[in-house]
Order: sequence, then structure tokens, then C-alpha cells
Amino acid sequence: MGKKSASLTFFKELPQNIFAGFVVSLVALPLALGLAIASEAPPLAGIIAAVIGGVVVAVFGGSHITISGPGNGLVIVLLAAITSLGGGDLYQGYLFTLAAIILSGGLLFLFGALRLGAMSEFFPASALQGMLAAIGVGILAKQFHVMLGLTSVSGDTIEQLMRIPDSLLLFLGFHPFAGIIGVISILFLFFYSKIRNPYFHLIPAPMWVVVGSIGVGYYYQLVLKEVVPIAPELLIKIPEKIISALPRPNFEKLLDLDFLGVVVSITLIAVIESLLSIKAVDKLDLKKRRSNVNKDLRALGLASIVSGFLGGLNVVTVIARSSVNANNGGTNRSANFFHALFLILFVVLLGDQIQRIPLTALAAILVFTGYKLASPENLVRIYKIGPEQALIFIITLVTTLFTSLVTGIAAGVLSTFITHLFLRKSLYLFSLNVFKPNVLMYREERTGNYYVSVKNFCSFLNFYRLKMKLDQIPESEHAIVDFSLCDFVDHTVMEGLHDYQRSFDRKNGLFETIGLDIHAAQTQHPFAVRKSLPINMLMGLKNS
Amino acid sequence: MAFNSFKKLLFGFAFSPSLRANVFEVTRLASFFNAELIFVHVGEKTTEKETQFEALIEECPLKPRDVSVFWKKGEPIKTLANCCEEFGVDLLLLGALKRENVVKYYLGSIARKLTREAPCSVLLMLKPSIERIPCKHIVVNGFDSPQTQETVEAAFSVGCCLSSVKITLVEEISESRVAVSVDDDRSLRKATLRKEKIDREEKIRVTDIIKKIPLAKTKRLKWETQSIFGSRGYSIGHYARVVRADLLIMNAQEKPRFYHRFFPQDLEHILAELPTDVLIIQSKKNG
Repeated sequence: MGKKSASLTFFKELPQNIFAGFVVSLVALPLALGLAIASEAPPLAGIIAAVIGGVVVAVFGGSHITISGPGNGLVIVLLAAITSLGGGDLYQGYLFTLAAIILSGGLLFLFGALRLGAMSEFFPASALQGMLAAIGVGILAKQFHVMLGLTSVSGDTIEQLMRIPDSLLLFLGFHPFAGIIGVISILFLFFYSKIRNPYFHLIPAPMWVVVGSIGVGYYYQLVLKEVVPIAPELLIKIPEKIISALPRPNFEKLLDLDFLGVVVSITLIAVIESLLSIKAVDKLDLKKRRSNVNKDLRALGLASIVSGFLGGLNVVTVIARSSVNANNGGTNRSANFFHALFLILFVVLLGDQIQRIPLTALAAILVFTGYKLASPENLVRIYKIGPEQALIFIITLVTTLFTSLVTGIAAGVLSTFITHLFLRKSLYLFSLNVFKPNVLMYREERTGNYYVSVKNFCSFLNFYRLKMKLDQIPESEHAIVDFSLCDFVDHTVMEGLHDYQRSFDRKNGLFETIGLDIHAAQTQHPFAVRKSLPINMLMGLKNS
Repeated sequence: MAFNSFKKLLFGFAFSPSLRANVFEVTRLASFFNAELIFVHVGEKTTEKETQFEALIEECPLKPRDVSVFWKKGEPIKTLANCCEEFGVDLLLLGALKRENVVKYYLGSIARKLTREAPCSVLLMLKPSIERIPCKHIVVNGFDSPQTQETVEAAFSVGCCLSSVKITLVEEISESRVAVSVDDDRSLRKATLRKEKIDREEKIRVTDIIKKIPLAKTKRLKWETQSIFGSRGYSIGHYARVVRADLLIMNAQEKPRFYHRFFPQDLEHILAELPTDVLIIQSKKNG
């Protein structure tokens, strides 16, 4: 494909990308506001992150149909940072956090420049799921009270969870009207997918919630000629002069340990969330392209730095908005750019309407997001893969809730490794071979097939080696992965291989996994952990 | 430099449970190579041991043209290395050990050191057996190194002696030569094309090596080439195991330097976990 025809396709597809960008901005507006409020940052911080993310990543990014902006995963970290760094003063905390965001943007850029995009492979799949669930629980626990109109409920995640029943009983006594809008909103979000009308689905659910709640306000004002019965502290506030009100990041705590801890956690979550999203969104791309992960990380880092200086949250690749983009015909990065453009238009033209959105409605959207992350279905799904995976999931979830995200993910990695030791009953296999090369790949001269053989063991600890080789095989070819020399294959690898299988299928290649029939699995699930059977047991099989 | 076939073989033996199999194996090899065989025992000499050993040699079905037994005293590694030098040995034979319960072989500390210090070529035997297991498939390295010509010649010569069926020349190509890192579809296409080009170049180089070998030898064996992009020294061992080769033939290391202690060389990966029988060819130039 030449340069000319490439730009021709670009212009041909421009209208559909503008449309996709518009639909995404409808989802992004309430989410950006909500995520910023949930982090105790000014509401505009979320919009700034989405706008800067959209523009910068559209220009410098390496993926195709992803959307960037403020991420759900970061709410918990940013909230902790803003409340703790300022020592009670939320605005001071916000300024310190901006500095942390800028630094983490620098780190993110560095990650991309050093091509460390493969780093996310070092996290076991179940531990990552547990971490995401913990983030979901964290968002849900805090926002549930806001949804009911109670903004004063404080305490850590566990305390807030415990207080949910109290709030449910009491909320009618405080702000009944706003609380009821919140409850109706959450019910609507849960039943949105049950409504079958296709025209109704043209507007995404969060936008319905926002439009509906603004509409109620106008109904009171214009039809009933009454004051809206929502307390002013439950409405969004946007400063009059956006440009002059830009905050200045405060770098005073540069050498403070807490501050550096915040930088590390923000970077860690930003990398994980972005990489997981990019990987997932690539599967939705109708043109079956492969994203340049490292280039995208660099762009996200750059966007975070700019966003931080302008007072915005940090920028990550977000999965929900990206899939809305894919579903509405987005084909290239211009959709990301247009989503940013529409957000600017919304804020400039509809600033007054945005200030009429009740916080309870936004909180309902966030509760729904949190619920989807922490949905009990995830646990059931993981339990089916193997009871030990469910255990890892729960350990990570609980540790994250009681301590912090970084400790939680560390506990997840550790517990995964310990379960592997128990399953294989040999420290020897892992300790002796973890640093050795264990993957051979070659193209068979006679058939032209790619043959990949894996030796010793293959788990989250060394999956990156296998991945590095597999990434070099064009997906339209025939690849054979042989595990017959491999004694142990873990769930992370099985799931990763399944992803490869799918990307080969999409490009009409063939991806075969062989040599696993001498391995025992605990469950029938295709992603279950495999370990090789002892030789004498195989002899027994032969005889019977 | 042309390769001269092995004329003098040396086997250092000890009275272990596998002695019988070892002796059967080495006498068979020596007779195939039509070479002289020297047994060296390092340790106490007793008449009982002597008679036992002589009886064992008598039992062997295939007799080499000349067998001699020496009983030496001293530190095993030095003594054996000195013997190799003293008798002008071409090939030192060593037995490997098998890891308990696992199908993995490794070298004892003595054999490992000897492999590094021996002045001649070394054959590491994994599974010596009383009955002959034919050596059908030989894998030989085709590195871009001055020693390779001799090693490949040796492979054909050994292949002829052992009546092997097939020889595969493996070129290990370092990923750094591709110099394109795969990020997206574009770079993948570029990397694939580059690899194909390097692959073709390597094939020409290896075919040139074979052209220099007398036709009488290359005609008798089927040979093919295989390029592998991967970490050098590792891939060929793994490959030999995957294709279930019977013998892997490698260049000897160049003289070890100080930094090689920290950065293991080509052979180290293979010595750490022997994939199959390994023959290390000591180039005449190198020695």
C-alpha cells in the first residue's frame, strides 16, 4: 500500500472516525468528570486528561483504535495520594499529586523508550484480575455513598463497605431527591442492556444518565418554576475562567518517600492498565493490526506530563471507551483526536449544563464501573480454571483492600509462585532454570512452518521469552508450539497462548499447541495449569 | 585445514556400575574408527582389578586394532590431560552422568574440567550401551568461525565411520544481526524480510564449506541446513534434543579468557545440560 492510497483511506474513513469520536466523547464526558471527582480532584482535571490524551496520543501513539484519558484503575491511587500528600488539605494534595503525575509520565515515557512494554507479562493473570477487582471494590465502596447523596462518609475501603447498609437506611433523611436520582440512575445502568430498542442504544448509557438528570433539573426550573431540590454541594462546579485558574504543580516533596511511593504506584498502575487495554483492544480491531506498544507508552507518558502541567490527571489507555470506539466504526487514531475535540466543545459550549449534573448521577455511573470490575462472575470464572487461581485472586484482592495496590500485586505474585511450588513440589525446577534461555524457535526449511519448543518450565516468570519469539512469527503463517520438553505450564501462559491462537485465527494462520498431552491438569478448563506426569505414570497409561 | 580422522582414542575408566557398558561402547567406537584405543585408570592398581578388566575386554565383540591399558597415579584431571598429550591422543572419551529420576544428563566435575582442559577433541557419551544404538542423525554447528570448516569435515568423516544417515548443519544467528525489533506489523514485515536475507547468506556460506570437503565423503550422507535465530550456544543444544539427534558436533572453545568466567561461552549451555552425545572438535590451529 503506497503513501497516496494510505492518505486516501484516511480521508475516506474520516467521517466514520468523527462519528466514533463523537459517541466516545458522550461516554468520556461523564466518566472524566466522575473519575476526577472520585479522586477528589477538580472535575475539570479529568476532562483535561482526556483532551490532552486524545490529542497527544493521536499524534504520537502507536496503536490504532484505542482511546486515552483518565483511567478507572488510577482513581484509588490518586485518591490516596491527594488525601495523604496534602495532610488534610485537598487542594495542596492535588498540587503535589500533579507533580507526581508529571514524574510518572516521565517514567512511562522511559518505559516505552527502553522497550519495557513486555513488563506486564511478569504479572500473573489471576493476580491482575484480583487487583482490578480490588480497584472495583474501592471505587464502589466510596461512590455508593455519594450515589445516595451522602458525601461525608469517610474511612478506608473496608469501613466504607461496612457502612453501605447504614447509608441505604438513612439516605432519605439527608438529600432524598439527589439520592433518588442516584438510585434510579444505577437501576437504569443495570437494565440498559435489557432494553431492546436499537434507537435507544444510539446514545450510550452514561450519557442517558447525564442527560436525564440535567433534564430533571430543567423540568423543575422551567416547568414547575421552582428551585432544583439538589443541594449546591451535590452539583459540579467549574471555575469561571478556565485558563487563569490553571493550578501549578508543587514539586516541593520531590525527595519525600511517600511522594516517590505515589509516583511508583501511579506508574505501575498506568503501565498495567494501558498494556492490558491495548492488548484487549487489538482484538477488536477490524483491520487486524498489531499495536506498537512501546510507542504508545511513550505517547501516554508525554501526554501525562503535559496533562500534569495543565492540572489534569494522568493519561492511560482505557478499555471501555476504546471498545465504544471500535463498536462505532473508529478505524484510526483520528477518532481519539475527535473525541478530545468534542470534549472541548462540550466544556466551552455546555459549561452551564455540565454544572447542572448532580454528583449522585455521576457516582451511579462510577458504582456501575466499579461493580463491573469487581463482579462476582469474575471469581466464578477464575474458580473454574482452578481452585488455586481463585485463591490467588482472593489473596490479591484482600491484600490490596487492606494495604495498598503495590503490596497487593506483590502478594499476588508471591502467592502465585508459592502455589506453583506446591503444585510442582520442586523448588529445583524453578530456581535452577529461571534465568536460563528455554525457548527455541526456528523455521523448518522443508515445510516453512515455524516450530517453537519450550523447555523446563514456562510460567509468568519467563513467559516473556516465549512471547518474544512468538511475536516474531507473522500471524498468517503456521506456528507449532511444542511443550513436550516442558515440565510445567501455568495459567498465565495458557491464557497468553489462547490470545495468540485468536490473533492467528484472525489472519488465517494456524497456531498449534502440542506436547501437552503428557501433562496433567487439575480441571477441564483450557487455561488450567499443566504439569508433566511422572514417567512411570505414563508407562502405566501405555499398558492399560 | 583438512581434518584427519581419529587415530588414537583414550578412555579414562573407573570401576563404576556403568564400566561394562562403557568398555563395550568405546571398543566398538575404536573399531569403527579403525583406531588405536588406550585405557587409562587413575588410582590404585590391584591384581584383582587388573584381571577383572582384562576379562571385560576379552568379552567385547568388536576388537579395535590395538588396545593398551595404563595404570596411573595422581590427580585425575591433570593425569588424564597429560596422558592425552604424552600419547598424542586425537580423541578423549568421557562418560556423562544421568540425573536421578529425570531424563537429564550432566557432566561430573572431573569430566567438565577435562572438557575444558583437554588438548584434543572430546566425546561425551550419554548412554553407553552393551548393544549398539546406531548413530543415525548428526547435528553439527555451522558457526561463522575459522574452526567450523574442520568441524564440519570431522562430522562427515565421523558420519561415514558410524554409517549415519543424515547430517544437519545448524547456523545459529544472533538476533542482534537482524537489528529490527518487532513492534507492529510494519517492523515485523521488515524483520521477516531481513531474516530471509540473512538466512540465504548463511546458506551460501555453509554450502561453500561443504563444497571444500572431498566428494567421496559428502556423497555418502544426506545433509541439510537449518538456520536458527536465537541465543548462540543455546539454540543448537535445544535443537539437537528436539530433532532427537544422536550426536552433536561442536567447535571447541577458543582459549578461555578472564571475562569468559562471567559470560559463559557457546559450549557452557550445552555442558550444563547435555542434549545428546556431544563431540567437541579441537582444531589443530587452536591447539
